[in-house]
Amino acid sequence: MKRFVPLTRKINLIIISSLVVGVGIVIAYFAFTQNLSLRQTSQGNLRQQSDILFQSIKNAMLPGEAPIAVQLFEDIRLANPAYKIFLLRANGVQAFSDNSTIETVNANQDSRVFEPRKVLLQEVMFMEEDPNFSRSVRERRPVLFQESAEGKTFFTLYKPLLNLPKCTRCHGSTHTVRGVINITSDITQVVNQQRNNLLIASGFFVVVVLVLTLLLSLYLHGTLVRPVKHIGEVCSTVTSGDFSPRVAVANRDEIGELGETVNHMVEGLYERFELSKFVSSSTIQSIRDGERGAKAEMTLFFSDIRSFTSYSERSQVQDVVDSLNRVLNFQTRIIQQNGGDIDKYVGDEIVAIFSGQGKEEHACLSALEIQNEIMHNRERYNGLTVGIGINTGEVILGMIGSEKRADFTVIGDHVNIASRLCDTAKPGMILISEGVYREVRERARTKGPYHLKVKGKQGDLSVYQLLAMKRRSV
Amino acid sequence: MKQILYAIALLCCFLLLISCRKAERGSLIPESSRYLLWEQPIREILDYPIPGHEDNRRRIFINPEGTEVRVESRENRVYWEYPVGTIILKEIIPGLQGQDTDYPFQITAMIKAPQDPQSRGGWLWVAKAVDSGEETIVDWEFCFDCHANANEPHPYGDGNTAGEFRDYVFFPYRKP
Repeated sequence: MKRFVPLTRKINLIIISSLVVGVGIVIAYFAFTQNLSLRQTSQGNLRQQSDILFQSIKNAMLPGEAPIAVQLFEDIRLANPAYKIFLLRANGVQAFSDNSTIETVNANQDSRVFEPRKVLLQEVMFMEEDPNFSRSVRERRPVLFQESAEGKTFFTLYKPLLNLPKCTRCHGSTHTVRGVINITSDITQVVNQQRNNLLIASGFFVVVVLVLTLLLSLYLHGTLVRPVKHIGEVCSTVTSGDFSPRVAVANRDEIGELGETVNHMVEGLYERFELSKFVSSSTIQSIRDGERGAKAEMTLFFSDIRSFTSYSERSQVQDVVDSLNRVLNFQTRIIQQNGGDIDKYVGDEIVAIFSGQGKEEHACLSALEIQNEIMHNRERYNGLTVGIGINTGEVILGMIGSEKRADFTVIGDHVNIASRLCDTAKPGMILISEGVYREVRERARTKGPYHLKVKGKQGDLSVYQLLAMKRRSV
Repeated sequence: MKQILYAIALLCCFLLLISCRKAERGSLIPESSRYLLWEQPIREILDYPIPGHEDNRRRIFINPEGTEVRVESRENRVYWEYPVGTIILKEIIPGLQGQDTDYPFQITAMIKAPQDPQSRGGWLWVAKAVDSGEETIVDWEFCFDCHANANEPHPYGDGNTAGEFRDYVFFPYRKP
């Protein structure tokens, strides 16, 4: 059997996982694209700047205006300290650091086109050992990379300055890359912005998931979990025998309909439960079994209050009802304790049936207990007494009545005889038939036989007065 | 039922992943058996050093589409326009000295494809290493910047002294 997992836990799990996945994907996507956009914008700016510089240098170099390019670099560095811009030769040495290029150009032109410079750069950069620089020269393509130093982050771009066909007249055709433009841009702010974006997105994610989880959880708890638990509690209470609780139907939805159905069911159960007090067990069983009628061996037990009519005439109505119910109630209890089944109440009379092995003995014991109770508690029962008649034999069991109202009861000759015995019995007396006597005589003390004339019967019936009986040892 | 749903979910994920993959291009440079049948804009093997190819020889081919190049004059300038699909292919043979039968170590090609997002100046610039067979689309300045000089006077071939727009081709194809 599967382990019990509370509905609340399942719902919370679904909510949290859905939110974490759903909101997480959305926020991660936006954070990622925003950071990517920031990064691409920075890179794009750097590339654009390098393109502009590239064209500027190219156009300045062609007419032999290298000093203009040098000044351009210097001006850009001064205007924006966040940039570091250098022009390097293909061998990694900073351009304009010596007169070797001028000498090469003059040699290629066979004339003194440019005068060697007297003032050279003081702080010369060397990049030949930088693998990104080497890669840019080797592959003849721009190389952009990110690096960190002293708590700052930089984008660095190496962009080769090609030896174009139109440059070859001065610079010769033996090499492809004339130099490399090196631009370094401080992107610490961009990186910080990216980190902040991630932190904000993470915080936003946590807050959104928590708030939505709380709200959805409360909502689902109110609309689903609590009603279901409430229905479960009502069902548990009903199972324990208390039919009073009802499901409080608050919502018009499937749960509400379920609550209404449960309420109808409880009402139906309550009605059946109450009805069972007034219907014999055999009736209920026969309804369950769908029986219409059958013959069976049974012991019939009739008990009737003596002189009840005169008692009721001289007593208050409430006292009459109370006394009658008290007498019927204790008899019922004793009969049921001895395995008997109340077939019906007819005014102040009880009709009970006993079936199965030892049915005669059980009926006799019930009768003796009843008479004993009345004899020792006369005041409790306002001096009322009963006469009891017991017979045994084959009877007809069946649904007797109309389609709208019927009882599952017993009929037959033996029923009538038991009734006659009851009518004949004096107050405090128990009369049993010959058939009952035969079954209990070994343990019973009786008087008789007496001969009783019964209407509709040829000959007399042998009847005995039951005085006492030994209970069969268990 | 559950297994079927899991299978469908897995299939969807797989299709989603596949759809995210970039479509791979096939080989852009044709096999030698094909291009050796093409016309040559210049019969000779170019055996002088130039930037880009340096101290290596070059042999140039043009596909049949490229031989349909249109030449027209507009506003006092001559324009050469190669049709879409033109392939001008250059074998790069090692060294400035050697036999005509020497094998190339690299093949470069310019393919007229103005709609291609990687094209520059209307051409796709492709380099193939013969040994590895690896093809690279050169979508940065290297090829394009150099060949842009073909549209102005330059030191190669006829020198384009008139400054014609040669459509980035240093040795234009001329019908015999």
